[in-house]
Amino acid sequence: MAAISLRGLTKVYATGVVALDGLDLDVDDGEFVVLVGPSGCGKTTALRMVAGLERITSGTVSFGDRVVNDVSPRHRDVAMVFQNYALYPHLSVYQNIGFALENKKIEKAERDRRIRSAAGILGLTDLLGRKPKQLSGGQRQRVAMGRAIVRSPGVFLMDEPLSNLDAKLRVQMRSEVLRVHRSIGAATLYVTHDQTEAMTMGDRVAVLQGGVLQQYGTPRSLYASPANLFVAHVHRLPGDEPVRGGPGGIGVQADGGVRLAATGPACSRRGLPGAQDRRRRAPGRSRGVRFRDGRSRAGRRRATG
Amino acid sequence: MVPFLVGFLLFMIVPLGYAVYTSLYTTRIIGGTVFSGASNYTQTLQSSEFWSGVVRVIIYACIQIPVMIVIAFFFACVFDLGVAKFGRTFRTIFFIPFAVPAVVGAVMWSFLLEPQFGPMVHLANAFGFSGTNFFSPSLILPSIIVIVIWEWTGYNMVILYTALKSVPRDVVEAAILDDTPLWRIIVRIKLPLVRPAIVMLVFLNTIGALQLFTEPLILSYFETGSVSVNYTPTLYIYNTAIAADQTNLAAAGAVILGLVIVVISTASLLFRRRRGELA
Amino acid sequence: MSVSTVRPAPAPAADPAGVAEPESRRERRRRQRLEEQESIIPVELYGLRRGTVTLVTALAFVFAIFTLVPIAWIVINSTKNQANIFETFGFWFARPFSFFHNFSLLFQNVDGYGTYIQWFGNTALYAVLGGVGATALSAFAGYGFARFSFRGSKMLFYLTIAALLVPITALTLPLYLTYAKAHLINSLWGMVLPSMISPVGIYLMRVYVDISVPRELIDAARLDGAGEARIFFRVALPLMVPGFMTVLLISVVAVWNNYFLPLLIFNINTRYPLTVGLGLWSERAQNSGNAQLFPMVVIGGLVTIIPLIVLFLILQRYWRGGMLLGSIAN
Repeated sequence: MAAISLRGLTKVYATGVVALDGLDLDVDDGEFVVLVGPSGCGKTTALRMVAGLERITSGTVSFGDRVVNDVSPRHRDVAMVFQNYALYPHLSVYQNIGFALENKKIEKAERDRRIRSAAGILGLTDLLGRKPKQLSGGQRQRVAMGRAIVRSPGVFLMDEPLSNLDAKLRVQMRSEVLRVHRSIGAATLYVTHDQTEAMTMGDRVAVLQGGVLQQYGTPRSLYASPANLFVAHVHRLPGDEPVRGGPGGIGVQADGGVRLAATGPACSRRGLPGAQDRRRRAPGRSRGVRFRDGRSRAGRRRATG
Repeated sequence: MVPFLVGFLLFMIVPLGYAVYTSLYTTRIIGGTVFSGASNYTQTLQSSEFWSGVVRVIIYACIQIPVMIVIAFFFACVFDLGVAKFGRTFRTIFFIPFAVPAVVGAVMWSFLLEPQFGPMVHLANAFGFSGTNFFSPSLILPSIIVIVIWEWTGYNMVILYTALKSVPRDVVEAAILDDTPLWRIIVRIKLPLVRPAIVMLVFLNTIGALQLFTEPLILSYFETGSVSVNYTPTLYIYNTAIAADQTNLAAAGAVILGLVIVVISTASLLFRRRRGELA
Repeated sequence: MSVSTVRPAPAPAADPAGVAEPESRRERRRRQRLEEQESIIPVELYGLRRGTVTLVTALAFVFAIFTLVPIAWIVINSTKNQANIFETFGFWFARPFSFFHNFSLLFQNVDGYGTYIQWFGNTALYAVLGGVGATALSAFAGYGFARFSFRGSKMLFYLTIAALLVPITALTLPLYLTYAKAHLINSLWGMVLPSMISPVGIYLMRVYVDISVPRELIDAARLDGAGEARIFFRVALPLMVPGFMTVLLISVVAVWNNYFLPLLIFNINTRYPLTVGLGLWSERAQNSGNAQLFPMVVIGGLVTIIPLIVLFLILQRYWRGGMLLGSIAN
């Protein structure tokens, strides 16, 4: 039973605009799934429907075996990191992180313990007294994640949390995000327009365009067997120029980030059969792009406590 | 830029200066205008009528302003959250009194509350409060409060509504995901973020309330007994200047009132600035 | 793992080329209402108890009744003659239907206390001159404060705002005294000019200019060699229009409804604006025994408020928007 199941999820606005058209998606427990695509492709809409912040026009959202369409977002046990972090502006970092716990009427001592523990994980311990406007973008982002950690949610959602950071910080924060994901251990849906993030962070990646799912699979399979030209374009490497052609593709080891490294054994410019058909590469450039490993049965990641 | 500066100087500074100047003199029927120093001031400050007027407007302000702002905030919240239907229509209706001059508003309510013929009296009788005289000395101030609330709640509500709307949507959504009950969302999230607007409104309303003039004046036409000529400080100034033709004394009164109001406003401004509530 | 079937991009549900057929007024309003509903957080997310919506709507309804009662009264009773105003039920009509008779009285000078129509003309004149003047001045000043830095501009601005602190009473009496000395009593400009000084208007315009006229645009125009006046009129002003309209609305209302200033500075009734005239009639109606004045006060009040209400309804979007707020934009 998948932790999150979307079946035929559709969103049509009153103006007639179809934001999302029949999305089918499964996220397993502890899995990190990325929704990627250009602006307006429906990825954020899908995320918000999973959270319960957007009314569902048709289709179902299920957590486990329970259809949650009619369950209020308050009771879905979902934590979300918003693109603009949505921190409570007039509260301190401590109060921001602890806000949900106050709602649950958790005792002060226990609350304090949890807040400090989350702050510790994210390196926020020295900032607990500050207000959001005194923090940098990266710090605010971590507070937003702190809010999520402290709740130990069943589902963890992130809406382009890194897109407001500068490029260098973004790359650093990718591993932070994955660390937070691992410590929460819940099924995670991550929305981004950045294909590098998608390919390097996701266990599986869903590509959307115009409200329609184009392909859903491991980064490796997306790169190796793109279902159409759009997907190929989205997931090409720098210098690639996808053309229609025969089968073929390349995939290498898993890691948490993009690294231009020496070529690995399976990767060479023209080494693989079919590679020339599929990709025209800039001559003289060798590269190995390391992807997150595809999900094989054996390598299935278990949620850690 | 320049015309404004000129105008500003001309119409604000000069008259003020002249008022202070005038207040320092006394005009006698025999003997013309003589410099009298602070005597006008002492006369005013010793006048129990003047002080009773001051006390009265302070009491009036302390009741009218909170009641009005609470009502305005309540409806602003309601419409911001979308809890009531037909929000747009209601907001338009509530704002209409802003188009009504105080004179007309006071006249309308005078007719409504008229002790012998007014429909409101009939209504009160129907509810068992027979013989209510809305213009009696004990009820006239509450009547004035009702009139002013009628006039200004819509305007305050529109301002608070706009302030509430500027609370970022995703902050409220985050609170919802945190399972925050509605009352807590309003009190712990929305209210603090619109506090600057509320402060500004309290400030503006206070300045207006302390200068209460038109409504009591119109009501006094309908029932002279309950509204004395010195009912409010502004009425005192007006009557002293026009009816009694003692412009010097009135000038002193105007200066005193002006100072009192400026002091109160500045004090509350500084107080709030120190507490960091204002931008 | 599974690779989803890829579908071709769906045919756009909305007409891509534009409006296929023009929407009817009702359809458009319905769509606007739905859009407005969708742009706010859905109400069900707040976890309200059943019946809260009904209860709150009922409360709003009660307050709406409270708001409309005096207006309904004045509309209904403007159709009654003097006796009926007092003797018949306040909220329903009575014979004879005297509206047109009452209305005609507004054109006469009853008992020498003044002619309504003249007051109406005066008010319109003061309001237009004062309102437009205030808006223009506020626009200049607001623009000046927002986009020019000259020595002491900050100080001056705070001084302007401080002017808000000064109560009108304290200002008007001295103004009257000054006029008396300068023989400006009863002068048109004596009423209009002070009305053009509006610290609120300046503040609002400054905030609006800050928001909607980017510095870069002005700098670019300066580099292009345009003169300052040209920049103001061709570049900045078109961008300031919404703020302009809001300040205009507020200024016109303020002058139209002004009572204290004209009360002091006018003492011949041909110069009175409506507020002062009606105040006079109220007093005279009670004290002079001329009962004819009562229905005139009623219908006079009605005619006074109609133009502003109409103005409000037409210019709705200028007071709905964020402009009335001003300071929160900080």
